[in-house]
Amino acid sequence: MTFSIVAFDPVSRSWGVAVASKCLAVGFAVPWGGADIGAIATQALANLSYGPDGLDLLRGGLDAAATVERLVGVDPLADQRQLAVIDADGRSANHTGAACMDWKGHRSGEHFAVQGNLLDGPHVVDAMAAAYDPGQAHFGRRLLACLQAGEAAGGDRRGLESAALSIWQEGAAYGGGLDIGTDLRVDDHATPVTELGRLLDLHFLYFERPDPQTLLPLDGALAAEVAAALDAVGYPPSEHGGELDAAFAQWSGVNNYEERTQPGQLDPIVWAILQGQAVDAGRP
Amino acid sequence: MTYSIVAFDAAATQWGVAVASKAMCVGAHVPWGAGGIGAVATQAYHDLRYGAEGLGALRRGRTAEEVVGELTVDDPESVFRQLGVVDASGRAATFTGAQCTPWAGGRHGDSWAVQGNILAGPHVVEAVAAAYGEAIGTFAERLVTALLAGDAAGGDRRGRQSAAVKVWASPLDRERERLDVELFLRIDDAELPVHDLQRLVRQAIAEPDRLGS
Repeated sequence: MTFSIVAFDPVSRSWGVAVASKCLAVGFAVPWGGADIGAIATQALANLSYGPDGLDLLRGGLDAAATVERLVGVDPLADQRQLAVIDADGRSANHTGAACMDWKGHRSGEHFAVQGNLLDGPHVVDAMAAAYDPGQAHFGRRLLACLQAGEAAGGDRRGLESAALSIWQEGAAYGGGLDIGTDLRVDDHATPVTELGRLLDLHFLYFERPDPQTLLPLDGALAAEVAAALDAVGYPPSEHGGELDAAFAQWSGVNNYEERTQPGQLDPIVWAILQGQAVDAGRP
Repeated sequence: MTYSIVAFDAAATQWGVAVASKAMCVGAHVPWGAGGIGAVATQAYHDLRYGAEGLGALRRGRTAEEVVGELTVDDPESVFRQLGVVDASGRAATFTGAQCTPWAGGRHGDSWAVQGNILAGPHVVEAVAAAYGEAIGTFAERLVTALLAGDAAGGDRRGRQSAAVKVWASPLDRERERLDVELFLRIDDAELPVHDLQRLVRQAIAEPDRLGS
């Protein structure tokens, strides 16, 4: 059994796929996409070539419906495939082969489509479609909420093993060069959707920029406290010519918080982590 | 932040990358490759474009050594980069920028390259290389066995968080479809990611029909 959502977020111009399944490593097979191209979920007896071939067709200017038609039309096993496509403009199209295992089917709404096979019934995709809330600010959380709704509606009746969440947005990758904004996988877990939510929280911690409203000026008494904490965790500012920013950047880079680090300012989330490490370091 | 092995298995005609790191989701960033073309690991202060552009250079028939040269020559930040490449015929090259956080460095041999940064020491890459030479099993299993030796040797000196293995086969060998990815397994955040990865690989080999769909 597998259930998934493909969607487009017009505000951030992002395309995404989220999926959960009873199989191993569902993220290896189902999600495909590209910024300003679209996104694809290929499942049931998944034809993996639907991924790269579908992206080629979308890149060539076909819309979602024409892409589905073209992929399925030349596939002798089309009746065992399930496919969802969302194109660059956010139009979606689905194919659920007649020979996919029951219950199988799909639903669509503005800028999204949900689909599944081997489900408890149509209420699983209905719950997913109802849970898709375009008003929820973060696209990743919206996709996750949809999977959680599918799970709660009985999507996990046969047990889930893996889940994945991918979002493509121009320039969103680490270093800014590529479009891989979010790429999270839970390949084998007793509660993969819950675990995926935990990974999404971690993703925000490591890769999102801090809220500018919350940043603390790194001076005065706070600067002295930070210097003491850096000293405790083995990054004394004295080894950086007394430069607090340099010592802090070194610690934060080694701990992967560089996206949350700016000279002269302190993200309270990162500060809490540094304080925790300093306390741990001080324990006998 | 990472140690990795890129290799070519001549017997299976497969290219692969295995990687472990004290950073989440290392499998989303480091491994790049294509069946019949080669494989690239881009890490440290990594530039993901090294993956895409490295593959582009390999597609144009460049050797592993030439790919490293092309990527690093015009990059003002190459001193922060680390890169391993294996080309279509299995020649390997490894590059470590002078400013990568110590210990940082690489080793390469016939059809493999091992590299890492922020490691416990040079013995980590040496342990990975030695274990790869002696490992048994499928290509993916041998890559992960090599990673485990690095883990046992101290690995990333900051600790453990994620690991991944990705293997590409020659697309002509795959009748099912055009896709050239033979296997791609990830542990994105765990206490013992390399051990978990080994378990996943064994599961995937034992039950290939349960993989991915």
